[in-house]
Amino acid sequence: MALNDRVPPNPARPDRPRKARVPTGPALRVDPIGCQAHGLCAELLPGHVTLDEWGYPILPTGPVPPELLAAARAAVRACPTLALRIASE
Amino acid sequence: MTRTGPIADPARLLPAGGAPAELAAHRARHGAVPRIRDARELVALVEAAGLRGRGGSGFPTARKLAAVAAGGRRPIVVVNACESEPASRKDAVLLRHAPHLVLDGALVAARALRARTVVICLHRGDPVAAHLNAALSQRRGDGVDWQLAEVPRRYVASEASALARFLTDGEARPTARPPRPEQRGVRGRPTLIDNAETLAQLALAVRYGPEWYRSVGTRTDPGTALVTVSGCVARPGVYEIELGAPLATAIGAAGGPTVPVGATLVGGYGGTWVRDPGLPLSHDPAGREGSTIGAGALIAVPATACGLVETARVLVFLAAESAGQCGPCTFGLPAIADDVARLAAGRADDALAGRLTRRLGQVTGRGACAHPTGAVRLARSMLRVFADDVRAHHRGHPCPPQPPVLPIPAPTMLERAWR
Ligand SMILES: Cc1cc2nc3c(=O)[nH]c(=O)nc-3n(C[C@H](O)[C@H](O)[C@H](O)COP(=O)(O)O)c2cc1C
Ligand code: SF4
Ligand code: SF4
Repeated sequence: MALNDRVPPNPARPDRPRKARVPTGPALRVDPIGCQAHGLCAELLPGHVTLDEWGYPILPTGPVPPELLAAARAAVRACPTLALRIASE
Repeated sequence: MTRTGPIADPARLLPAGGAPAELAAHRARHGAVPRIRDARELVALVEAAGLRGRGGSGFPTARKLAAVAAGGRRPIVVVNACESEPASRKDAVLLRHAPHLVLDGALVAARALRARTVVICLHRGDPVAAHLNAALSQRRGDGVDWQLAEVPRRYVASEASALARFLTDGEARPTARPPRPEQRGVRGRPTLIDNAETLAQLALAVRYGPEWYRSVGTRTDPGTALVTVSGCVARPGVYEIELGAPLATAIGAAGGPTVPVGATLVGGYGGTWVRDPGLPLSHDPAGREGSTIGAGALIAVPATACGLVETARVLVFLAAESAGQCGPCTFGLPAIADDVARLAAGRADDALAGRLTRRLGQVTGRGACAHPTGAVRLARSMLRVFADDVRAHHRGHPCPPQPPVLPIPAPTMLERAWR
């Protein structure tokens, strides 16, 4: 979560130096401001990316499974607003 | 350490005899602004003191300072004194009674970081601006360019990235991260954005030393904090407490309850409902709700008030205050507010409970800023703390109407624009 926010840290994920999350690897990230709910990412990654009731993508927090990496890269390229990226943890 | 300081008295920022508002009196009490060699020395001091941000998150201030110092370009320092939390008055009181303490802290940070500009952000039309201008006119020899910026009166306009953006292109809405303001903030420069109280605390920590600073508070959250106590208490106002003190101490400082308290909203409108008067107030999550002191707003709500109605009123406000940029916040907050309002009115349909739970899970953490996460925290804590009332409302038994308790800014007090 953001470095600066007024919201108190979630007790389940305290704002402390985090232990290395297992497992690590490249993960999908969406820029929530840029995303315009075109939904292409969910189409290209069925099961991995789902849409909420308003059509915005819900991304798993963990890494993209290796067998989905190619599809994930395609989704990143297909996103019309360049809101999707793959971040390495 | 033999330095003197108000050690016996937990009140440091606002001591009992009154804080010195005039520069001469301020200097007589606290001495000259301490000379800090560089960012490294400041980071080490602040880290040793264990100072954490008072804007709400409790983020370690030393880590933020270090991030700004690592930026390469000449940084900018921003004092966040907007205080958009409707039930908070602590920054206003601090700036009125001890403006030079805040300015000293900003100056220490600016000098250590080699920043030339310090921007103090206030809400547009805030009467504190006049006091601040008077204080600044006495500080021409500081060697920094002091600036005042007036920010639109919107709840999220004072979120850190929104301030950085406002000071860059005039639009007071949050930006996506990364990069964070520490890395690339105002006009692309590394930007230290700290709450006004944080900087006043920093001034004291540097002046009297880490050991003194740690002599009150908890091990992981040392020092004091300002709290704004309101609701059904005898003397609503701003008080200074030792971090880790129980909620009852803060309520007691405000003269105690005037009627039986049902629950206290702790930490502002992104905070949690608390029934336990023994809850320790600090930035470390405590109690069943994982409550933290947040920005220090504490509102005691009478047992006769309806926690659901009060929460619904706040959620409607928070939904209207979304910056309208991120889908889950733009659409999710009004949907959640609507669910809770229906529940509060005793008009829940059979699908409401499941729908609300799903929506809360789908909205938290999915905005560019923490605004929606705060709203979800509030709603979730309502569902647990007022679980009995929730069940009664579900069965179609709402509470009898009561006068509203939690303050909601009138629409005329807010601006529609973000510029
Ligand atoms: C919706 C929202 C509103 C905020 N409003 C304020 C505010 O009015 N004043 C403030 O100091 N911090 C506010 N913050 C927190 C800032 O983003 C930032 O964390 C803070 O200014 C950093 O200062 P600190 O490290 O000294 O706490 C807000 C955060 C959010 C998510
Ligand atoms: S493809 Fe891009 S714009 Fe469309 S839903 Fe996915 S992230 Fe959002
Ligand atoms: S989460 Fe909400 S308030 Fe924050 S930037 Fe997105 S739309 Fe604006």
